[in-house]
Amino acid sequence: MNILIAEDDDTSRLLLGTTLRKLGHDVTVASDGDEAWSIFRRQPGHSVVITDWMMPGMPGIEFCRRIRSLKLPQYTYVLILTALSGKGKFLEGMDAGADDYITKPFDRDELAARLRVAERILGLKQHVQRLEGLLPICSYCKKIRDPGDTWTSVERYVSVRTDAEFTHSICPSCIETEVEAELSRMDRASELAESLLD
Amino acid sequence: MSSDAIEQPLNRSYLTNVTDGDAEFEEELAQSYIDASSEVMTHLRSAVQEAGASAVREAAHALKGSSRAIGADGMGSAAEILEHKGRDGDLTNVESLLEDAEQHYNALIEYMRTAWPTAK
Repeated sequence: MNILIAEDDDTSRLLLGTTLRKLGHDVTVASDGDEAWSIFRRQPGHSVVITDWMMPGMPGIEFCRRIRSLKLPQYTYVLILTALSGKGKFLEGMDAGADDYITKPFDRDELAARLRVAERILGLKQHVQRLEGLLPICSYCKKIRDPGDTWTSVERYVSVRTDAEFTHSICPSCIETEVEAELSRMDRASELAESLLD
Repeated sequence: MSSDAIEQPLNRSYLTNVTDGDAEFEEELAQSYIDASSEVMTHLRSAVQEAGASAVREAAHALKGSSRAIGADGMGSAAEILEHKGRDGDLTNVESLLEDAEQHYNALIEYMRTAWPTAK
């Protein structure tokens, strides 16, 4: 994943940045909240932001609020790194829009595990966005054009992308306009045929 | 408290774990800490001398974070006490607390220079 970190302490920043690179992530490093915000505005495509809570200038919690205020189409997962303890701080971070927090000094394995959670959640978010997005649908036959430019039935489109299964039925409107209309036509055809035979 | 009483200024097993056993990375971190902490200690001494509570809090907070990041828990705890004094605006006895922090710091730096002789 593409990760932006904001950490004012030189040693902690080196440790976190190198650890994340060793875990296979692409890392951009900022030495305080103001620099991190400037980088994020220029390059909003970071999947994950890991920010220290207390920093000179813009604190991590304010950085988090500003990220959420942008309402970007692509979701950014925010972890707050903090030595501060207590329920109050945790709630304040979550209210500011943070997704998770990790205490300092961090445990390497815990950090890796929390980033795997981030990856799963980002994947789910992308999946939902694809389903919630504008779907090109034929005005006549109601087939949907999938990302590969193939027109496919609604049932197939949904069943391929979700766990949903279809059970076919007839809605009240179509019972009246289609089924009953067809039955009426069949009745009239039958009456006509009988009258001809008489 | 004398430096001799500070027997384990650095938790090596923690540092090995957090660096995933990368000796080169350990040394890089040690050098980073030595460089950065020297400056922070200078700020902390000035802050105590000038009785600046906010400056004491900031310097001690930085020292706490970087020390604990590499497994120097004793140094981190000594810094945390100073941080709290600065946060609370209560600098009574802060000179004595700084002396304690200095002893932890000297023991830590001596340990690091022994463990990583090429670190300056």
